[in-house]
Amino acid sequence: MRRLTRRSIGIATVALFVFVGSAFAGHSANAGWTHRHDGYPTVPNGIAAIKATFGEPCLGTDKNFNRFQWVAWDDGVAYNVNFHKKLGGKAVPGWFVGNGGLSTNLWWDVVGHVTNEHKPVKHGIWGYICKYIDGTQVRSTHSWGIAVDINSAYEHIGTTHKHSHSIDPRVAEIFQQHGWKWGITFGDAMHFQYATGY
Amino acid sequence: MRRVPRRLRLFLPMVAIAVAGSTTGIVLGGNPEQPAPAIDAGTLVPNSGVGETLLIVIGGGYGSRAEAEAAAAAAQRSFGHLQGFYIDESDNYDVVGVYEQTSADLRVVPCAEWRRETRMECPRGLSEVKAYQTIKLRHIGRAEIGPFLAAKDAVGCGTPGFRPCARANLAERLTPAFSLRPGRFLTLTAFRTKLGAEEFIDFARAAGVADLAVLRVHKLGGGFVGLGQESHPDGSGPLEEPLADPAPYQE
Repeated sequence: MRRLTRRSIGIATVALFVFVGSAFAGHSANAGWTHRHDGYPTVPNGIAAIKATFGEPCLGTDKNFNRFQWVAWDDGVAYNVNFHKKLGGKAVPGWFVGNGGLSTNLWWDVVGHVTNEHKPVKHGIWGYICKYIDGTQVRSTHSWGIAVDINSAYEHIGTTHKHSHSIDPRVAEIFQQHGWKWGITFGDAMHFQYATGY
Repeated sequence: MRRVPRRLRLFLPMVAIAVAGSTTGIVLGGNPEQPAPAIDAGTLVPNSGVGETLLIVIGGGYGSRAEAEAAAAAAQRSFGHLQGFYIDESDNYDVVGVYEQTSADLRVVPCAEWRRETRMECPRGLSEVKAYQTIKLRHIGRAEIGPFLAAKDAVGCGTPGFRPCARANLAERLTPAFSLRPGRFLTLTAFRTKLGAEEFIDFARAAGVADLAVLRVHKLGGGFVGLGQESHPDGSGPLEEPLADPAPYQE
């Protein structure tokens, strides 16, 4: 009787995994995508930790970066997004250009959730760019390839306001669930970065 | 005979020197074969690029600083919290070349192909996506600017799948002698490498800032116009100093 109960529990557990797996596969069946959640680096806090995790800023896209293209749902344009290879590039099925990497964070998991759950991201999208923060000579987190701006065409007016004009709440939630800080807390609603304290 | 006041005795030679200097400057400025004037290193703004050969990406040229500031502020709304254009006078630059974009602006990809390549969905209601291509620039030396501008843009330029039309945009900013139109206030940002300019143009395109012109120049004066915001060719970090031999990274 006890053996039968254990077996029943085992079968029930397997059935539950199969059911949950099928449910996840359901929304992505057309594209053959499912999330991986592999190899995420610890989210760095502060400039020293950013450098310890991702190295110097402005390393260039040749050796340390990967690139994918993110389609805006309002204009149908696929924008180039270069990003640090530690945020994505593991050999998962799919398409990206670059230098590999061990994580599936940005390319695959974040973008996969957003795109395959049909959550709209709007035009004006970019990732790595070696740039100062406006009016300063302080390097933006974009200079490390650990920041992404989306919907910029709609959010630029709101940079001094701590609210969003266009970001789908589920999109922001997906970023945050994968370790990204939303810039809305410092008045930059278009901005997500894989770092805190900077 | 009346004595010349002491102030005037000091003032007259200064005027004479200034007039001679201006005349020399005008003569030299009109001849591209002459070397750039000597720069007083003691007065340089750090990373101003004065005395260097640079690439400048120009957003526009305006008759007054106030107009340029307004244009830069308007563009800045598109760039968000990332630094966009700076403002400088056109007289601070000697043109030594121009650039044209050789890459097509975008590639039209049917959604079926897009799904297969990326494993990502197409936006609902669309049958194709327009995939931006990586920006590639080609340098055109000063001697070739005339023939380049005189030629016609390729058929289809400026439409999806083709490269932008470059000539009218450049011609608008240059005099018949291929100098920048004098006395203008430019919205611009500068780079030491072609790759830096290409990355900025990709960023500006994504931000919706278009109609840029890219020139290769000697910087004769003026202040900080954005140097230090590109990667060093050796991949070690930002490029914050002049390159010993910039030509291979600019041509």
